[in-house]
Amino acid sequence: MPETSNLPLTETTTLILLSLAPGPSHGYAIMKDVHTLSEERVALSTGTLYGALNRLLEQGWIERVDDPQPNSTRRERKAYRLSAVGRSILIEELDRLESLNTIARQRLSPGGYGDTQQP
Amino acid sequence: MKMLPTWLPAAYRALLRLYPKAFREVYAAEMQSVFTHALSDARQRGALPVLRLCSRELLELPLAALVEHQHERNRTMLTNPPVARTPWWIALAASGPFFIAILDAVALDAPPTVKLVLAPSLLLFCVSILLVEIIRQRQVPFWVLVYVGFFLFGAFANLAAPFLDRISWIRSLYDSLGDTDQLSMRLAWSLLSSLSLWSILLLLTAAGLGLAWMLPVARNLARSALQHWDYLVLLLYGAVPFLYLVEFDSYRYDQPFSSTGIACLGLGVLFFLRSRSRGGRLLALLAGMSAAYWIMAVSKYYLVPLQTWEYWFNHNPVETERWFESLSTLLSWVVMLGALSLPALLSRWQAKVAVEAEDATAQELPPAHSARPGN
Repeated sequence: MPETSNLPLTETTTLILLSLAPGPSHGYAIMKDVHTLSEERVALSTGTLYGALNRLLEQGWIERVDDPQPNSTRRERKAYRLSAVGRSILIEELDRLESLNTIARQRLSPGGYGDTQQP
Repeated sequence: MKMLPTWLPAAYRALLRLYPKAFREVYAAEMQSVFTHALSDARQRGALPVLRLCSRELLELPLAALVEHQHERNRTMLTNPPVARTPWWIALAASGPFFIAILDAVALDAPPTVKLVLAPSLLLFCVSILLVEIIRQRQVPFWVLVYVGFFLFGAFANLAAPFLDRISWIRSLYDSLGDTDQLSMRLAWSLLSSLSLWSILLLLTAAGLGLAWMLPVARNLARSALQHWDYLVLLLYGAVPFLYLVEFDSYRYDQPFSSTGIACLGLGVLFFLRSRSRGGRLLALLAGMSAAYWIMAVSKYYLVPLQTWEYWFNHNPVETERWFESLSTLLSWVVMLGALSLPALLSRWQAKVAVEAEDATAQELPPAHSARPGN
């Protein structure tokens, strides 16, 4: 059971966890994926990315594993994957965002809760 | 953009040095590889993306490194909880030996009545606070170690040092190195005697701790000194005022400098006891000792021409003598820095060995699950 005190997540954390949701990925792929997921709004520097990965590893939300697809240099590369705890936390965060989204849409829709409160 | 400046990856590698060592060991190679990939991709898209990437890295990497240093510091604080801060009045009492030494330095030419009243009253104040603390805590407080150092090494300086002077091979070594008109030889003698003195003091400390271990009353204190390296440093620091006064022994007009120097040493103890971390405690003592020795080195340079050392002035020009006196003081300072840092270095090495042994044991155990993805 994930701790709700961890929520809400920062945008960077959410995007990194989301990037790892389909499967393990290495640093540069995460960086590019975060850029795509955020519709080119969030461009992570290596410092921000690895600071966040370090924190996520310490919290046990992700794991560091050998890269399943080694590159052409044949040098040992590391990849990151979501842990069970990380996946639960991501789901919790997405549920929270979804619920917030629903409430916000209701309030903003014509004749919604927000409109009925108007004098 | 066809050509990339070759120094960019090297500059990035240099920037990575800003990170804490532990972080670098895990991530530096990966970060370098990611940066190289990003740079290569940006190059395909033109000069602007390269410029954007480099400026982003240049701005964010130092900040991220700073955050990692803070994170590392917080983690260290968690594993090494802060030490209790000693109240001001107790810290003042713990600095008592230093005030007595100041009195000895300043009131050298004062009427005996002044010395007879001031020194015993100061000692009485310190001993009373010590007794109150023993009754209150029902054990000897750890700061008494500075008193132990002060009296133990003081007794050694007074009783054993003149005896050492009579040993023939030490005498002949002094004649061939110390009693010459060559500055380098005399400095070598200075360094040798400083090193020997601190080796003896460290041996004395080891013997004293062994003796304390055998006495049930003092066993707790000995155990604490062995468990906490900063206690050992405090014990050794007790010797410094004596050594300081001995270095100024043959001088005239030194009182303002020697008393200021010893006041710096006393402040070292005061800030040691007011510090919240063991590293801060060591820093306080090293800063106090360094301030005192640099005051001595500079003051000796100006005091030497005022002295009446006919023997040395007949052998060497005054200029050579003042350089020798200042430089030999700085050599003593370097040796003392090493001696006072030794318990901390040993403790760090011991912790590192313990962690390596723990890692080795963990690797020998069969893995609970494979780290490979998909398993």
